Amino acid sequence: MDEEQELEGYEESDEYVAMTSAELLDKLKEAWINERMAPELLNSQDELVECMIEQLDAMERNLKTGKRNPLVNSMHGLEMERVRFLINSYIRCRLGKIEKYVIDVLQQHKARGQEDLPLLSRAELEYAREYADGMENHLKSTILKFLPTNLQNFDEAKELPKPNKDKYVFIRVNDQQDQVLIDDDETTDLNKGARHIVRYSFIASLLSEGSVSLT
Amino acid sequence: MEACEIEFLAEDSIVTVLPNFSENKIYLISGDVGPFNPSMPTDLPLWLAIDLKQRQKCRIQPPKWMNVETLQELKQAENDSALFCPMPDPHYIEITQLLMNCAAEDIPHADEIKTLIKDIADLRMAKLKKSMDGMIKEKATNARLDNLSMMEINLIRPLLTQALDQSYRLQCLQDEQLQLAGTE
Amino acid sequence: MSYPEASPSTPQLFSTLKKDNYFDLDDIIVCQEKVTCTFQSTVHRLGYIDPGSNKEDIQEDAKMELPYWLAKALCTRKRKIVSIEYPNVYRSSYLQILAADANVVDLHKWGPSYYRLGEKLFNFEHDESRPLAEGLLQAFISRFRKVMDSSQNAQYQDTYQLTEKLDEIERKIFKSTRQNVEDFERWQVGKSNQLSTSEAILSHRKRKHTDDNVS
Repeated sequence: MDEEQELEGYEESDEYVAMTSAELLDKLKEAWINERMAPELLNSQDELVECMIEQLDAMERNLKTGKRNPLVNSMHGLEMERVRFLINSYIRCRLGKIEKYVIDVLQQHKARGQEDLPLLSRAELEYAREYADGMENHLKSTILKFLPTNLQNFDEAKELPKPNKDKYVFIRVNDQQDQVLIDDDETTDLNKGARHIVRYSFIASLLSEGSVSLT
Repeated sequence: MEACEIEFLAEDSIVTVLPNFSENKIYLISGDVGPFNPSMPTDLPLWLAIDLKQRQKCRIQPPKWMNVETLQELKQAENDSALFCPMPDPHYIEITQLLMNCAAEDIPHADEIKTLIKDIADLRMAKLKKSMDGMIKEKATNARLDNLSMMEINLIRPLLTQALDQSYRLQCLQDEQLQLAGTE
Repeated sequence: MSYPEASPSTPQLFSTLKKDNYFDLDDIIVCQEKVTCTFQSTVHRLGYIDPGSNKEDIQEDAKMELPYWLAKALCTRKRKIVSIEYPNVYRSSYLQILAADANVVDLHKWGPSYYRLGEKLFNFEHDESRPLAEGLLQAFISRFRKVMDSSQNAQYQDTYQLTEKLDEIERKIFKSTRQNVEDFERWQVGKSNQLSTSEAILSHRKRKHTDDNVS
């Protein structure tokens, strides 16, 4: 009975980074926690998700073909359920934020340059567009079309709901950072392993770099 | 986050088990485990250890820190210090609960350990409440909170973050008024 | 579209804090609260707004209770059609009561959204805005301990008594803290893992049974 080395490294499309599946899972877990805690929608980690789904599919195929001990099968199965939960929860969290701030999200995504990391995955972009259209049609057909013509134009830019980036979050420092502005007039060193509670806006860029994580 | 989701994260912690079966190495997504040989200690993620335990396929060894002496010292240190002591594990509450629920018979002095952990957690929670009240009273707009465990942070998250949010809003309004007064 | 990330020394952030949130239900309700307005000049043919008056025009110096959203539109920097007075609960005599012992005050009766409306009042330039700012902050700080203690300790009690005298924001903090604590307690006794019939289904079953009895 051959236990295959089914889980090897994978390569990101732009960077040649070989990653073990364990590292992939850790990154996905971190992305999940960050997304749950952050007040705004974070950058898409679609590559991690796609890769993990591939791993799950490969695992599922292996389980069906191999003649393993049912105990071993159930171990794999249990782990797969855990990973599926993680992915589902991550995507659901993102969808919730997309729905809440749909117009702002679409504008932000559009404003990203080619070299920047994308905010939305392809599927999320399609979903966001459909959702925004649906909302607009709904508002038009239920209310706006009954208003006088000069009030029918809904000035989205003025009124759109935006995430509150001044919300307080708990952070864990991953990499030492010296002299960081963490408050209006306070800079401090962020020591590795330290935990702070700060306003999100001060650490948003550190978060996207990975120097801090939300906790 | 919900408590059970924090528990989900805690279940990835590594524990040592003594299997009662044989099996080759298994290549899980989260890493390799095994090979399994009867009564040979092997390290596993907690979620797997619990599953095997429930199928009566192994015994779980309590983590190094889960003994009466260590915990008594920890409790004393926590009592004596105004600050938060470093905990042996960021998931000490969840791991204790999980192990007690399914493998209490594998843990010597389980009842005493349960009580000690609860006492430590209560001491820390009382300190936390005092710290939070202090933070709000001092109009703090950020803080450093090392040595808190994941479940403890989760327990105070809505309270502290929302209170700081509101305090900050009101402080901003006050600052604006002071500035306006300054420009007159 | 960028979000103002400057320190509160810029007017932008202040205005964001005081801004009305168009889609937020709580905000809509707060904006309905009445504010006393004094008309600075005659306004023709709108006398019917004042139920107590039978005149065709609103006279200069006429006083009226108008909802905040209307008062805000009529009292801007550019044109001051009305001047506003703070509602009594935001004036010095009430602020003194707050300063004496904020914990005994029934802010729900003063409010119910005492802080929120208070924040909005800063959109108007007013002599009493500085003491109001100090009063609001100090009140919130003083009352925090009670909100914290009661929300963390209330065990399966009727929470009505504990939240009776709380403002809406304090109630929100109380509720989310209470839910969090209850979730933790449920986890501790192992109820997180149990599936149970949803409340909606249970009450539906009861109702159906009654329908059958009637027919």
